Amino acid sequence: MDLGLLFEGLVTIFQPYNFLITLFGTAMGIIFGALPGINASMGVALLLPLTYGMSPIAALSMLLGIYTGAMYGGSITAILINTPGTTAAACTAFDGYKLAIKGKAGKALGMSNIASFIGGVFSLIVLMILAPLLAKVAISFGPPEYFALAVFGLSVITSLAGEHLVKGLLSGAFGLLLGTVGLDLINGSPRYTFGMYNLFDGISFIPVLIGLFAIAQVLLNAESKESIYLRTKKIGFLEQLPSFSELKSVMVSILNSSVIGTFIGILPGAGATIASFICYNEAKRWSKHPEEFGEGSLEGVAAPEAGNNAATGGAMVPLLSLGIPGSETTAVLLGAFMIQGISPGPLLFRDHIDVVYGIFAGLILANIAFLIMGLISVNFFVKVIQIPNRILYPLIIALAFVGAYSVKNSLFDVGLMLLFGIVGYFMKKLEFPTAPVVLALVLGPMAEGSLRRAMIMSHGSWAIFVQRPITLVLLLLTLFSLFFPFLREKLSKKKLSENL
Amino acid sequence: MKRLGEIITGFFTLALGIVWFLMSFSLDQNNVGGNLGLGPGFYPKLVSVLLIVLSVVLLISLFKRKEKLIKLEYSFTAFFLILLCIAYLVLMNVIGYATTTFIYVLTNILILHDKKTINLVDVVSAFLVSASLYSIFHILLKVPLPSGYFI
Amino acid sequence: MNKLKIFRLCLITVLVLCVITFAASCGSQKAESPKQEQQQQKINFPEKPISLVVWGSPGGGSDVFGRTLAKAAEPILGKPIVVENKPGGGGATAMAYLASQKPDGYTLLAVTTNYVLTPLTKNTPNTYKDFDPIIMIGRDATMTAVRAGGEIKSIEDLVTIGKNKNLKWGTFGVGTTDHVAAALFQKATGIKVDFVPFEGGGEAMAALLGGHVDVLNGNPSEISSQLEAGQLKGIGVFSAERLQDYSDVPTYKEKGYDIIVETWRGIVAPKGVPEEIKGVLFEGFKKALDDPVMKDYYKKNNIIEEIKNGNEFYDFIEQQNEFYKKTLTEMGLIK
Repeated sequence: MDLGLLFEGLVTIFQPYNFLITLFGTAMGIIFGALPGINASMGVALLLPLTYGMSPIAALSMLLGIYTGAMYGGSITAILINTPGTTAAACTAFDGYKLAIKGKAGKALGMSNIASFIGGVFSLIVLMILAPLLAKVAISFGPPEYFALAVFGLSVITSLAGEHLVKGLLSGAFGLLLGTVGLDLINGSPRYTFGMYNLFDGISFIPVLIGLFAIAQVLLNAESKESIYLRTKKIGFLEQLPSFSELKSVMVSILNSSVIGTFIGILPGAGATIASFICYNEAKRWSKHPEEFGEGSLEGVAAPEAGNNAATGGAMVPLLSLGIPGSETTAVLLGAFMIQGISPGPLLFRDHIDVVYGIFAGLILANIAFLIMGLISVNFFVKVIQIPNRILYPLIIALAFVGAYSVKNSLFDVGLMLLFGIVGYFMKKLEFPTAPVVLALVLGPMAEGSLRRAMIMSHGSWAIFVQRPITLVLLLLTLFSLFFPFLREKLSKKKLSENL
Repeated sequence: MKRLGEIITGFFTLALGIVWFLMSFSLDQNNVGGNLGLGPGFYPKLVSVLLIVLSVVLLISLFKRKEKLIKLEYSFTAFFLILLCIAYLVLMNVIGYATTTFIYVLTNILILHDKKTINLVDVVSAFLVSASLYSIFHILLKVPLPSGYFI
Repeated sequence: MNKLKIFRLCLITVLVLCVITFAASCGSQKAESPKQEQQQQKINFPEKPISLVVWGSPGGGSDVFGRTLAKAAEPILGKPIVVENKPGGGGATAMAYLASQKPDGYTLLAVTTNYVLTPLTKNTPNTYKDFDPIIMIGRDATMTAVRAGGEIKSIEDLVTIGKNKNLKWGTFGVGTTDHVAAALFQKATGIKVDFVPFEGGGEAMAALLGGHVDVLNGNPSEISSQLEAGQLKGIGVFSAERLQDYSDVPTYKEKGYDIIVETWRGIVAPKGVPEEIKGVLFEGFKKALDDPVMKDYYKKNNIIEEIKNGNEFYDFIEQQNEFYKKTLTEMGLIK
């Protein structure tokens, strides 16, 4: 990192036009993120045409503002109405919504904001100092490593399941089953598509997410007739936010999640959603109060939010230093670079070092911007849940409909969302956790694709999964993670008996 | 507590697993690429066996419990809302997005209203919801929303 | 909530909506600036905005191409061209959508080689016979790339090494153009190859850089930044002639393998569009290619300009369909 260049970048970004356009991007990002169905990649793509006439630094800072803003914005609707605005915020809904029900929506929003900020800044620092080195880590992951990572991710289901282990695992297996629908990843033949070409790309993820969370929740709430949205007390601005001591108590979790999120973000193809789930799981595992998770724990909000924003900085590593987009959003950003006539990749740091540091400065500004905007608007957002139920519920459903539609401009997806809304309603009624379905649907295809690719590479020998060190370590970690709860129980019993 | 719904779910997932498992055999006949490692049917077999085993475990644990079977209370509100949503989806493409949304929101408010009467606030909010969604998604974000006889 | 508050809320929302509508109309006014004097046709087409369907997601390669082309053609045709994304099913969703539209020239689809590949490999309902081609506008070469400084340095190395051990050849999917090219080369030389299909270019590229696969084929635009940085090395092109920007990379044809596999691009409409309207569209898009932004886009992405009118394009598509049908059957990908 060159501090002189960074200073120059900051000077550029604080020129009025660049400054305002970055703030605009961040604000739009928060809004896009909060709208279900419009995620970071769509938001960036939607505003991409605006950048045609801009300078590279202004254009990319605005788009990165959208990216980081949307990562935070997704948590707003997740917390307030249990409808994750982006897939990466699915985890935030577990504890965030419980906190909102308890009348602590402001605290949850504030915590999500601050955690997102810390995660974002941490990964940005890592990006600035270590990008070329980390690029090597990114490409060291081949198919066997991705398989091991997917399996590790799936082990999170055991902790999402809570008390109902069998039910949670069953939900997970159901999600994996849904993940087999679509064209075969390796030889392209249709599987379980029942002749519908709408299913060729598999069961779309966002409609399922919106259905299981938003629609199911509204159906359930409408039925119970209980007005849970009106419990937020009228309290002062500062009291809404998390206190210093609360912040201090989750700091360890936030920092851990920042590290994990950055690392997973670096890997092409993994991404923020997986990062947030793994961060949630790790935070629960090492927490002093694991029993609070799922019941409204501030730590449970902070960890995934720090994780998904940290993943944004991580995802910039392969994009900037290798020219390889690791996620949908970075693929669109690659397009934005191309429009500016700059190809990201190893030569970027040689030929356009000013742009690189301009982007870094833009990211610093965007992170600070969403921190301030988020904190200021907490009070406003909390008002959303004071809308009378009879108006709020149809509003959520209408939003869910248009969100599911806009992903692919397809009414089929809206029908899919409705179907999963009904499925989710019954699941919730019968106390089957819905989150494992979502996680398994994301990770299933990744696990299968990388498994089969690895088997092609090894000519059908399973030994490939123990011969490669990273794969072996990840698989051992999975085993450890599966048996950790039993281990801890034994240890605590032992301690108890020793104390007696 | 043991519920009828849980048992039905267990049988449903069991059936789903069996169907998926049986269908997976025809998938391998499509493995025309050759030399491609595990065939297309391998992973679905793995997953459906997992689902079958877990369904059986759930069912056994349910039947083992010597509790009285209870039925869950389902209200008509949720049922109505689902029907309304289906109507919304179907009519969207016939009437047009904005108009359908307005009608949908208004009807939904009526269903959820305690007094079953509509006041001006409800009509205005239904209008605001449909107008804002239409302007944000169609005009600003240029999403080609379904249009029919009206907008 | 008291009445005053509700009133205030309504007022704010209405104000915001006004601002949005105003901003949007400002934006579209700029786009609508008509230059109709350029249009000398007798018929009145177009009279309303045209929608150009692309089958990529927003921001992807085909989306950016479609949007750039739409922008260039707008002032020439005199009406806004709205890009609509209908992603999914390797283009099947977009083709089914187009087939359901009126053949009035107001709904068009930007196509690539997938136009024939998807119906062939995936048995989708609509084929090229259901549509009227308007214009072919260009083609992309397919280039073989390996890690720079690795064991493989030329097409000859591929053959000698491939005779002794199985080459791991990364592809961007199954039955894709890059896969077809590699399979034809394998057949011509008898080398041993394990094809490792990835989803999307990014993962395949990372796998090549990380040494998880040995070689892959890609469009020059997809691999140019790694080529320039010297991380990857181009060793062969599946085209009739060498590429302008990569004149040091030999063609497979020079080396005695007559394999030509390229990705082509064009625009099609639902079947039955009147000839005059087809003519207006053809001239419009043809002129759009002379736009400096378009020229620049072609140069940057190494797209070779090649214009064919509707009938020529149809014959070309038919011939390509036969070629892929035969090749994919030989590869065992279709029965």
